[in-house]
Amino acid sequence: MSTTINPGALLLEHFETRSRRRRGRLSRNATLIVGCTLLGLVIVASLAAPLLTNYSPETLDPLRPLAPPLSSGHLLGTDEFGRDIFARILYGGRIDLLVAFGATGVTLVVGTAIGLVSGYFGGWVDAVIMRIVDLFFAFPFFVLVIAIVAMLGPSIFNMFIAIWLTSWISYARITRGHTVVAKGREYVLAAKALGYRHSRVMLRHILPNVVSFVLIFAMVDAVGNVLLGAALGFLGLGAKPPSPEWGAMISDGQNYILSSWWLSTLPGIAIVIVGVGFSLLGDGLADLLRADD
Amino acid sequence: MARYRFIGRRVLQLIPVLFGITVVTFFLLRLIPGDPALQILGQHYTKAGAVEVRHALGLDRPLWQQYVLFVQHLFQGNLGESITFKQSARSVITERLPPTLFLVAYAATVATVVSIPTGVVSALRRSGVFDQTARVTTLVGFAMPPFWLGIILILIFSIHLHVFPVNGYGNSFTAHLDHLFLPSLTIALGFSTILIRTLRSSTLAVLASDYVDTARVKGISRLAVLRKHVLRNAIVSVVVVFGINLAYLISGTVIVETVFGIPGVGSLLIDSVSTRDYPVVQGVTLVFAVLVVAINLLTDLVHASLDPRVVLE
Amino acid sequence: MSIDRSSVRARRRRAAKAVLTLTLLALVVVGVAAAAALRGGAHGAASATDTFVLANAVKVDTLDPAQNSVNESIWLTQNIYSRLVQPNATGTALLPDLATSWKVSNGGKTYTFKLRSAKFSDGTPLTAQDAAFSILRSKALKGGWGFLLDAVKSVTAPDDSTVVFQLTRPHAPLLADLAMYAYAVVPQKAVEAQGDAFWNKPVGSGPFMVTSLKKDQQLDLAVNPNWYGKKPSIKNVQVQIVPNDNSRVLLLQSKKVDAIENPPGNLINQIGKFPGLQSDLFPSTRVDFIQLDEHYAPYKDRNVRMALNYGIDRNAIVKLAYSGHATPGSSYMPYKMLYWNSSLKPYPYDLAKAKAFLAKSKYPNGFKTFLIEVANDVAGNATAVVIKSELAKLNISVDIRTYELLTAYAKEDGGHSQMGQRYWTNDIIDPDEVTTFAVDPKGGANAFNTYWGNARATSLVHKARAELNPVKRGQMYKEIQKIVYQESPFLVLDYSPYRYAQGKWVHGFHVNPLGAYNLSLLDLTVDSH
Repeated sequence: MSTTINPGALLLEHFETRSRRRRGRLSRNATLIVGCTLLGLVIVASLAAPLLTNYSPETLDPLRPLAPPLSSGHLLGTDEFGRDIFARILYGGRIDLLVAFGATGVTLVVGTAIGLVSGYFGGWVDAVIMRIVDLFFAFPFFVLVIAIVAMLGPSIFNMFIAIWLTSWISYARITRGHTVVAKGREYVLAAKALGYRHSRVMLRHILPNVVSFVLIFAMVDAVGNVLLGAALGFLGLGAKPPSPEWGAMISDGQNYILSSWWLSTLPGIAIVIVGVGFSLLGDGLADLLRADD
Repeated sequence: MARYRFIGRRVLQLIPVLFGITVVTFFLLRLIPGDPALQILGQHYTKAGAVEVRHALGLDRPLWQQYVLFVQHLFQGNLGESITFKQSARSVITERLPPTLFLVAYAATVATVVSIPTGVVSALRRSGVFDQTARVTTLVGFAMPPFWLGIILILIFSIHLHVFPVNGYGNSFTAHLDHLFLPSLTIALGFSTILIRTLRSSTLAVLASDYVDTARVKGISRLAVLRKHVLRNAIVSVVVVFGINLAYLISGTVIVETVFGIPGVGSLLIDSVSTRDYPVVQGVTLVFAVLVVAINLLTDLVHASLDPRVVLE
Repeated sequence: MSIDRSSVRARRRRAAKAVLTLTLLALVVVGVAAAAALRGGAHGAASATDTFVLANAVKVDTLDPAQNSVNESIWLTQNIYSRLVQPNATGTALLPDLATSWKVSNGGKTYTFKLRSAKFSDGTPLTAQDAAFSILRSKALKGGWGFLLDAVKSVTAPDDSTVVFQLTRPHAPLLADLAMYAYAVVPQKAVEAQGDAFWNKPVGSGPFMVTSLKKDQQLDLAVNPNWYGKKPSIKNVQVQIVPNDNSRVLLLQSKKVDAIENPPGNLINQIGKFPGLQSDLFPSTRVDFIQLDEHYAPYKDRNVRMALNYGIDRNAIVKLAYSGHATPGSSYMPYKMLYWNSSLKPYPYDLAKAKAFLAKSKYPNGFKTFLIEVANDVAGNATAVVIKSELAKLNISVDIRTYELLTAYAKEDGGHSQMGQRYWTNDIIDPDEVTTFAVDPKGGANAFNTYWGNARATSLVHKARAELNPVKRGQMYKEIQKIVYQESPFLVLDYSPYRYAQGKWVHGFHVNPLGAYNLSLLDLTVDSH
């Protein structure tokens, strides 16, 4: 992935005054701030959904199906059952955000741990683990996830299991690579010479230097997981009706696209906002960490 | 000579990978909770029938024997019997393979055609309007779910503008090009976000590099530099990125074929998941994995021919 | 400048790359342009006035009349084969088809049919032996429609143009049964010789014959030159399989097809407003219902079933699942068919009553259950969501399970189900078929897979089948309907019409309540468009 992108900062630079030097540090953080703000907004909105809307995401209204946005008291309109779309997007956010954080969080921890062990100990442990990682990389990730969910049965939990089983490999590979490099550095050699336990060396000395790379990748991975969760919902392999998961909403909306475009379009915009938020966060982090180098 | 050794090494490295693929695919079928016979027989389930089914699938034998049987069948080209289509899983899959291959090639072409100029020009006119627009677009594009993008394209181009068909594959080569344009565009746009970023940064690196400066000092025109170094480097980058993100490209066909109703292997996967046709699910997963491995090898070889340094690694 | 050794190779590589890039670019541009330009001609036949193009939502499962179970395929085979008798355009009476006349004798236990002279589309003559063979073949098929003719002892062909049926007892619906698609006449010699392969290019004696079949893409029919009736106005029929609802509507809007089946309910009004198009709601014999498998204990309890009846708002289903284009259901028999009991009213939505019934039952605190639905059935899926939402108010938690059509039906039928979505359409104009399926536990479907049974109702079913006096018969069916209504082994939700849309350039397309449009194809004309 390229590390020189930071459009958020660019946008800000465009409007800057001559006092660029003073603003220099701020512009590097602008991406981070914008990303955090976007994500924060979405998270807060989802959690505070009952405060933001009176409608429930699951209440049917036979009198007002397929109402367009800004009509009859529905900000974003209603779907084929008369359910308020704004409410469904807010509550649905909980599910998609759960996938983003839950799936990413677990694979981050597990994958990093495996990569640390593999890179640190080397030898046959490393060889075996890396072969397994290579093997998983051979499979088109999405196909594997679908196959696993297919076998276990469609549900949100099985979706998590499928993602956990397949996503750790990227973290393992990144961590292992950086661990191998760090292993040769003086501070690690010194720690080993001092006789510190392996776990202490790994956690106290190597991990802090590796974690920044991992976190940046995690942001990219989070975007991927949101899209993945939505894709599985879209295919009917994740969240089940009448759950307001965004992907499932987009899928349902296809049937009404000729008469009511907003059913499919609006949840997609929500997904894009979350994705952009994570991307900006990742880019901002990358800049911040590079600036500190 | 080094080249042949390189090819040989790469092919040899394939063997454990292929072996691993068979193991994973084998265990996939065993992930099914409960009795596979119940799934297969469904309405016609009887205790006796279940025993028969389990025997036919070899499920009453020890695990390692089942695996050997599985691999034996694979070598014979036998992927099992499709439950829904009542024909061999292999024939079902081979029937549906051409649209997917067409789609992947088409999407790769469109992605290349879109990305190379955009990435290179972005780098050449760095921080200009074009560059900034491109970077915002790729940022947003990266976060767009492909199935949503496909639906939006259908909404605009098929439903409102009537330019392309909504669905299907078509009966002739030109009809294929027509029907597959929007699907290819959907995959390509997603893929391009990565391609453009990579091209931009690698082009920037090339432009800032020493040998370009040397060439300019020598008096070689900017256009010649562009052609000789930048473009060549661009193509190498594209090939490398393809290799890394190939799995993504192929996975993209699953969603896109479903949205656009294309009768390829991707939609076959989804169809057989919903009909619980496990042999076909297993077979498609295997085919996808082999496809990825094969195209990976191909891109490696192309990369090696374009950039001799790879061979010497 | 010095010439280095690598520059030659480098130049060649550069040239190759440039050529490659340019070729790729050119290919894409030319391809897209050509495709867009040629697109108009891709379905050239569509604008021809001698061809009627219909877009169906479901692929052809088989063209074997004995094995047909999918409606769309059934309606297709009715164009290819003939039967002894056939239903008329309004589905209220029977017309002669292959049989020109018939005599009933021996107290209703002997039927003698005289056949016209007819040929199959391949030129071979159609004889009474073919008729006897076809009917017996269909009757013998396990899991088929044989039970309809269980009173038939023998079917013989004393000569080439006479078919004689001997019955064990009087059987009122016999003629209606013989009008059923399953008892179409197929050529004995060819079927026996070719086996399963025959059905990929079948030969029949109907007005149209199959010229090409790709089960999940397209079926092409041409006029049968050997057909005995008046030649149809059109020469060809093309049936395209387009499962995607939106595609079908768009194809009609762009005039690439002449008619489509099943436009989405929410688009019916929109299509009507589109210039040159019209939407049609043909009265049907379709009944949408929810099966309640009594192997699952709660459904054995009548109080639970009554709670479900009052706890489901049929008007909401009509509004949300059918955009208002349906009628709330009462009797299990199709709307206003022969002997339909009009005194039965749809159960009204009454949450208080529902709760009261549930309180009386063994499950006053509700229970968990699952509902099987068919994938991609928009109206059905919407119905499921409404039901789930409404039953939640009774503490009945419904888990919706979606399966592809045949899988869903298999899961609903085995006796391991709970709630299952299903619908019924008549194949004959007589109430015996639906009644046997819905009420008789041994009637072939275990009372719509509920495994329910009522001694009085079952005995009435058998009596009514043999009763030749229409008044007495009518009273029996009215009583059966009352019993089923009061017991509600399955929940009757609604009656929905057949939805079609066609271009106004089509004249004469009409679907009868059994879903058949074959008669209308004989007079149908297509203007240029």
